[in-house]
Amino acid sequence: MRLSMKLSYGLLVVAVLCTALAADIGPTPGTQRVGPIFERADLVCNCAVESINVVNEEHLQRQGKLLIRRHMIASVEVQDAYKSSVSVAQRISVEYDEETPATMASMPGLTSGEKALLFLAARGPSAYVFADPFLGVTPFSALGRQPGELGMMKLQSALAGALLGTSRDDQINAMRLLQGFEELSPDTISRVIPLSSSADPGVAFSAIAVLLKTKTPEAVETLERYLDKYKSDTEPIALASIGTELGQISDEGALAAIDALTRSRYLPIRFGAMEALRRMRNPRSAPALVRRLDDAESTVRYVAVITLSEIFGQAGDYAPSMYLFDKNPDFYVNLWKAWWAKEGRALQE
Amino acid sequence: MVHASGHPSVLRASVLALLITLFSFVSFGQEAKVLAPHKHALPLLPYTGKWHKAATLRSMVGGPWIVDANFKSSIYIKNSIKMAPLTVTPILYLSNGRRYQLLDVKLEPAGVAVVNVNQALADQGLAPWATLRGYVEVEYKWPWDALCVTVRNVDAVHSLVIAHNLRQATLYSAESGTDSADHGRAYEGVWWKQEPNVSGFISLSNSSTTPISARVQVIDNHADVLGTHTVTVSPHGTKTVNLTELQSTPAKEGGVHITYVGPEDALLLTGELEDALVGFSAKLPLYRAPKHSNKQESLTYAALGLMTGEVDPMMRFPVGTKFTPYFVVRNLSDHPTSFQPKVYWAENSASHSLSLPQFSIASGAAMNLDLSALISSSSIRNFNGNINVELDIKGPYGDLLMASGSVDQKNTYVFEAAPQAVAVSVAKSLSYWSTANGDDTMFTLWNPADEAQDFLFTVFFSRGHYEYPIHLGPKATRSFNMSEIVEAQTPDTEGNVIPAGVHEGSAEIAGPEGATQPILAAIDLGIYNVQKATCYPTCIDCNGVADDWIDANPFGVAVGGKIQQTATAQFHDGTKADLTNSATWKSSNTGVATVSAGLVTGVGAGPLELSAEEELVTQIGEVCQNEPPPRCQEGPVQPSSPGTVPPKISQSTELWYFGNGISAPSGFTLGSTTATLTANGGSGTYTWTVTNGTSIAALQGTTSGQNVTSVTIGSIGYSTSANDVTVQLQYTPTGGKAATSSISFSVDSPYKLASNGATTNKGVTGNTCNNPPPGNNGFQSVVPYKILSFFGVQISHIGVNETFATWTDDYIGNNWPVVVAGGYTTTDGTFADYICAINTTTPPSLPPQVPLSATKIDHASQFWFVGSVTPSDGVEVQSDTFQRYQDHGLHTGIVSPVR
Repeated sequence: MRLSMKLSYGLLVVAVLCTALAADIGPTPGTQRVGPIFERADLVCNCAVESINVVNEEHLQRQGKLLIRRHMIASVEVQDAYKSSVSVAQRISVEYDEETPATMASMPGLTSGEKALLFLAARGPSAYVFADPFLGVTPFSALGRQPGELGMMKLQSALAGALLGTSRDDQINAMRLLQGFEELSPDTISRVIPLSSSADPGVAFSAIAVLLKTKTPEAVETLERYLDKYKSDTEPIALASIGTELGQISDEGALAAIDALTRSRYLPIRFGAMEALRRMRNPRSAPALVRRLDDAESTVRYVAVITLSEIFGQAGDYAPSMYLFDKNPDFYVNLWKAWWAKEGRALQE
Repeated sequence: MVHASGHPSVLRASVLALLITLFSFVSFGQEAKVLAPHKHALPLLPYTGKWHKAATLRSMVGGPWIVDANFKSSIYIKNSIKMAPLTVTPILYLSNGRRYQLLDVKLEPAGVAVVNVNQALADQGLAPWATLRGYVEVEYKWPWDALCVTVRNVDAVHSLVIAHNLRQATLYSAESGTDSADHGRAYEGVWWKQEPNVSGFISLSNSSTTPISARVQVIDNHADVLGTHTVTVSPHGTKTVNLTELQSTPAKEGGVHITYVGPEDALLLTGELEDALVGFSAKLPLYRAPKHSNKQESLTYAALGLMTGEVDPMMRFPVGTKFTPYFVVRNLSDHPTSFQPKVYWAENSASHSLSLPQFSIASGAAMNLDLSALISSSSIRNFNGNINVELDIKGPYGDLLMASGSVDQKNTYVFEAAPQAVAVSVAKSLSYWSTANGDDTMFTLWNPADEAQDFLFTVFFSRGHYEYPIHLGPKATRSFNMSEIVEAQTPDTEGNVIPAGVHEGSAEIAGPEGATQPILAAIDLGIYNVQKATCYPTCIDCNGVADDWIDANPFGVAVGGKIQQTATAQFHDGTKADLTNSATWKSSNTGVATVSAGLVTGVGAGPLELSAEEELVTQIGEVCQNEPPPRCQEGPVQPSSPGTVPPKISQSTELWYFGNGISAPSGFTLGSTTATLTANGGSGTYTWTVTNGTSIAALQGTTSGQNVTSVTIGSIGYSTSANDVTVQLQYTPTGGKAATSSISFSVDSPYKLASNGATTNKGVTGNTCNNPPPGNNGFQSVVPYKILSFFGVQISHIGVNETFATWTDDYIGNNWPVVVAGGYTTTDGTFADYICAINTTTPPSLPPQVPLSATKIDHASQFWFVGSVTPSDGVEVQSDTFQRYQDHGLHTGIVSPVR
């Protein structure tokens, strides 16, 4: 009787998770906001996975392809908690589904013996499921126990502590999570700064992404300097979130560095720099914008056009929608080039 | 006004002319200087062929027309419009009321036409030598009174001329504000006997549809009644009352008092003095009796071109012909009136003046100033030429009834020169001149100002005009004949001359800057024929403002918005002038809108009245009918326009569209799929309408009614260009005019996915593709994107989902599970497609190889939607081919945007 109830419960969870998790679309690494997930989680902890049991196993066919879906219950020990009254060393169970072969990014899972930062939602006494399909589990080889009160600050301290470790993956994972914090403490920043010049571009770019959250010219200049030296053809995924963070900059002290970044060979950086110029609406950025009228990427050219129109108050054909621009990009680009040659350049002198 | 006999002593004493001062020359400057207007012409607007008001049926009536074996009757019709032709329909009414409609007459712009009544009657089958009379009506359609019409009856055998101008059939009723109700009407006239055998008659024509009985009283110079006539005039009929009393009375001057009960101006009254034996004929002035008023005006009247002494031989009168002037006055007021005439003349190219004695005239009395005797006893007794007589009086306008002119010693040639009021005017039109068949036309122009003025005398004739500049010194006068101008053949500034074959036309006196320039000028003319011994005046039009308006009427202007209003004056001759910069603009409610030089700025919602005031000449058309001496008086022109400042509309949030029936997700911060439009106006009726972009946005719920100050609008489509949705609010404030305000906005929508960097591939291991640790059991490829809207906005806090179709195996027999469609809510507008395979066996998934493996596993069509996390919900933004290889995955054949 007890077993059947447990199975029923497990099937219900599977059904819920299937609709919510069955996707391979997810956040650009580093862009997920931690705060809302922390808020809706019932337990956020640094946990150690002690054992995993298969509760249920199904053999499924998907488009004629066989796969096995298992409903799993992991027994984990809470080694440090950042939210909840669950005490340290307490054991809890975490239920989840797992597919073999694995193809879905939105199905977090656990490995026996691993340590991880878990965001969990309560499903019963000491029973949990993942609170987020992407951020539910972040493995850490070592996440030091933190003193202090429960809360986001405690979590931040723990992640900042991970930056001092030697594990590259821990550092990157910690920085992706720190990127999702609304506010970062000076102590955290001070720990990130040394990593921004790491020889490992994965680490360095993750660090720079965190630093850009400060929205300071110094952070932008750090990025500019690093990109000056970075000559690899490899484009770390961190650049995608760096572009987003860069686009939030509005401090005109960063204008020179952003101008330079509009010429980056990395598209996310150019996107971000152009978004920052659009946000600033500074006439001094006009030459950089005019240069981008010839960018290889159509979207960058459009942002150059619309930003010029917003800076110089031109309407009509000077301010097309992207829809209209895509119909005849040369027309709008040439319109602005002609304006620049006839009037705009003189405004700069 | 009319006094029964019984108090003769009082009256007789009072009507004596009192010689108070000796004649004296006066030098200019002893009195307050009369200044020229010193104003510029208004800026003119181009002729567009359209008028502000619609044309309506108009009518002019008057007469009489008289034909018999000797009398030939003609109708002279002048088109006052300079830039447009006019078609008119003359109608003759016989004395028995029978109506004869004549053929239409087409008038050139500023043109004249002459209708031969005798011939017209013959065309109607009536014997032209029969003794017939009646009155004339001229019908036409035009937005304002645009004709000047004179009926001229000439008996060349007896040298008699009976000429009268028609009046606007609706003019006086419109001005007086009376309706057609029966009321007592009164008219006053003045008669004088130039010589003992002069008699006279009154012609009464009934232009109404009911019989009218009239009483005609003839009184002497003491206001004693000499005789009374009662006559009933049938509808459209004409009757004549002979003033037989004039033959028997010893009085040399007196009055006529006519009363009737009937509609305003239904009775057309004209009077004539004549002695057929000697060929004397002159108009007996008949004016509507003035309403007694205490309004004291400083009025100046002038009779121009009165001839005295021997005539200029150039005028070809019989040798020895001498003229003497006459000036007859009747006091219509209820109190005595004093005045002191002044004579002006030009001699040896210099202007001179002479003050005559002061006269006092009792109420109701008539007197002849006997200018002949006064001149004979003055220093100008030997002067041969023209004089102008000026009367300055203080009193209500219209209290004096005057007649003046010149007559030769045989009383055959009578040059009538009715006194006219001297006042600032704009151009004056002279309706007709003639040099045909022995006619000539003499003009007399006088500058009443104490400073020099320049004038432009323009002669209009068929298909042409001729400009003749005239400079007149202070108080200077100039007389000239049209024949002189024609014969001189001197080209004007435009090179025009009056062709020798031209013998008739019209003319205009104006300022040098044009017809709208204010001038102070008195002008008169007489068309005379020495052989026929006839002379007659013609009508003089004031080219005043016929219409005025503010162009946008009514108008609306948004709060904080501006609208440039223009004010326009339409002059009698069709000229349009722009008053915008010269008028004084006023807003009735500066809390609603302010105005400066016509630029209206909305301040707050509500109604207002906008006006533009300017002092201009408001008299238009012929002014010498049934009224005291004409004047082209100035008055305020005040076009106005009701305006409303409609409320400013605000939009609560940006509108977005994510597909039919799909609302903005919770937490979406860039706007919503519905918004509230709010108007900050006051009480009134509100009607909201989507006027542009009806396929993009639609109003919901109540959209009109009292104080519906806000509405909900929802997206039903998306914008492809900026601000392509317009919602108009028609706001009618309580007690005000409707006005509209509008708000235009765009409905943004997901447009496309933009690559947010290169696809990254890494080797992974473990049991899940979620944050898998590095390893060699498979791969994870990350394809980063950002979501952009139609207007380039990176859309955050929005759901994105994918669907798959047509999964196709490239590696036959593979056991790779297909990917399940799903969705994700992005908080920053970016996301990634995670293509992952771990622990597949057929074939085994590999970490990224160098170079990447070319072994394809499978592929599917992939479709991307934004607006929801539910697959296929939202708007499609991209399609591509989802391709998996043994060691990586990617998107190929990307199509974005797809709309």
